Amino acid sequence: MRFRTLGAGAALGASAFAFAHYAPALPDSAIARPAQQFGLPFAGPPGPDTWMLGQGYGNTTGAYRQRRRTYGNLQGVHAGLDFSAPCGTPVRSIGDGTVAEVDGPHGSPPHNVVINHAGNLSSLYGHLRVRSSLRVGQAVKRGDVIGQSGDSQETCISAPHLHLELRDRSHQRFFNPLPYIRADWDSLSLAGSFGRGYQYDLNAPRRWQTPESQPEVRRGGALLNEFARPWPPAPGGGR
Amino acid sequence: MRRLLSLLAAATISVSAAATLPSQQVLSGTCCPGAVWTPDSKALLFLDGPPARPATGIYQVPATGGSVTRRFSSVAFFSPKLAWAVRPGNGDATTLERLSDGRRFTLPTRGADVTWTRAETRLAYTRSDTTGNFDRRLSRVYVADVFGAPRQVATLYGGGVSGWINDTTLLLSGKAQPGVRDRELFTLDIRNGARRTLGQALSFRGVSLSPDGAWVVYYVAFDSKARNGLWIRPTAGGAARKLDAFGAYRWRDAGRLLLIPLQPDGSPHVLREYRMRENAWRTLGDLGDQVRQGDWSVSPDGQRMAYLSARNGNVRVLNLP
Ligand SMILES: [Zn+2]
Repeated sequence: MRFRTLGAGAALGASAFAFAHYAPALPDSAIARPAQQFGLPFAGPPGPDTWMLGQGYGNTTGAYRQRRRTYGNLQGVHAGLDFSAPCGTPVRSIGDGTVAEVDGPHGSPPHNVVINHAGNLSSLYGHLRVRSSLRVGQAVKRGDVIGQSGDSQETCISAPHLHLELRDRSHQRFFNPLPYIRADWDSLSLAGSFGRGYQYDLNAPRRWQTPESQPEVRRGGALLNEFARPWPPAPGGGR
Repeated sequence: MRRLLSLLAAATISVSAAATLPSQQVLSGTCCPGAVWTPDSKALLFLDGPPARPATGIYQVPATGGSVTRRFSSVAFFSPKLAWAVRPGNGDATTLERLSDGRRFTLPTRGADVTWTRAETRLAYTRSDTTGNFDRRLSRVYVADVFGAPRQVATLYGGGVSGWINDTTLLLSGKAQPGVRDRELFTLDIRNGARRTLGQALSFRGVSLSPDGAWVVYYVAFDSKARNGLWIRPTAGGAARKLDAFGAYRWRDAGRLLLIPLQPDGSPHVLREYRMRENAWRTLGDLGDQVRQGDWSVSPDGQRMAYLSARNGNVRVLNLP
């Protein structure tokens, strides 16, 4: 019997790099509410030839294991969605917007793109294979190709995936993308996951155990998952 | 053209005509992910605690619904037959306790759970490096008899134990050398070290042995058109079958595999059954609902299925037709 440890693999990559960002976080009143106003970053149906949902947003067991090192600047949380896909898969803008950064300072190497959208929201596309040909300031439409998916470990066979984040435009707040993106998330969660569910705090075991209840992240805030009684245990205590 | 249209209509009807399978909600209050069956198939076990329940532990609910009771007062990895509790410590050592008499021994699993033989008298575990590329990390595979000392039986890169085929044969996947592209799926006789390679692919995902160990199902993704997809193959060697379906799957018994197709169009999840002997599919029905978080399981007797409902996050149970 394995509580929440089915499956294999581990957390892949992150965008948590300790670049300084001193712009203040935007208040709730300035940020568009989630209304499924965005689309998926890939075209066509998921499957073993195309793309699949690999790891969800939030307090995943994979993020917990690397809460101090990889995710230390993101409160120990996987602050985006991972989509597995073969290297070179066209990545599409999740909404209308303007290119804000190409290989800017927001991590998720080797290459990334940030698009600004209405409602002071920004989407980040990480681990892209090559530098995007887009220019900063260029307008994009939802579904436009903005780059090619790559591999966080840069081999195209180790961990090929896209890391997608939804942030406030000041890059201080990281939102759960699920209520913002129109998709059949329960079906997408059926196959392809390399995660192992969410990390438990045994003092409050129902907390953050559902996809829609995952916490928002503030850059540089205290770790949310430095649990007194974590489950499952991280091999070696976690890093 | 008219004939083609009528054929299409017939095909559509045969797919959508699946009846909705009646199910019963057995837990409430958004409870609980990760429920597993008791070995007798009569109840479900789940982790819960404050504030919903007075203390954290493993709770039990009858498969037909009813009152919840606490089954174990501490959380652990419990063996499938509930004969053992596996409790990792903060360092290397993991304590394994036989629940019938409380007798214990320790193994240096470094936080990992173990994989039990069917009799739960022998186990295997994998110790892997925690840094480096995922497909190149060194893993060492150990086996031990209960109350015995571990013995290393394999060294792999980007792999580990998939299960026990029988009391003396492991199923493993991984690479022999860190720099090569493909992993191997292979069997290993732990008595003499004899290996049998079953297949090669970029990666073997979702590897699951049939309850009798005779078959293994897995999928390959993002490799090549010829390799990608869902496969079933005999563990004794022989040709693999590529199944013309893809999605989430669980063994129902030694001869039947259940599958929920990956079809993200918002429609209720459909339950299909593949029969090994006939090499044929039938549709059992739809759930009138969706499974949340890929969280579903089949009772050990193959009679029932439990799933986490997307409607409200509670566990539901249905009788399989
Ligand atoms: Zn990620």
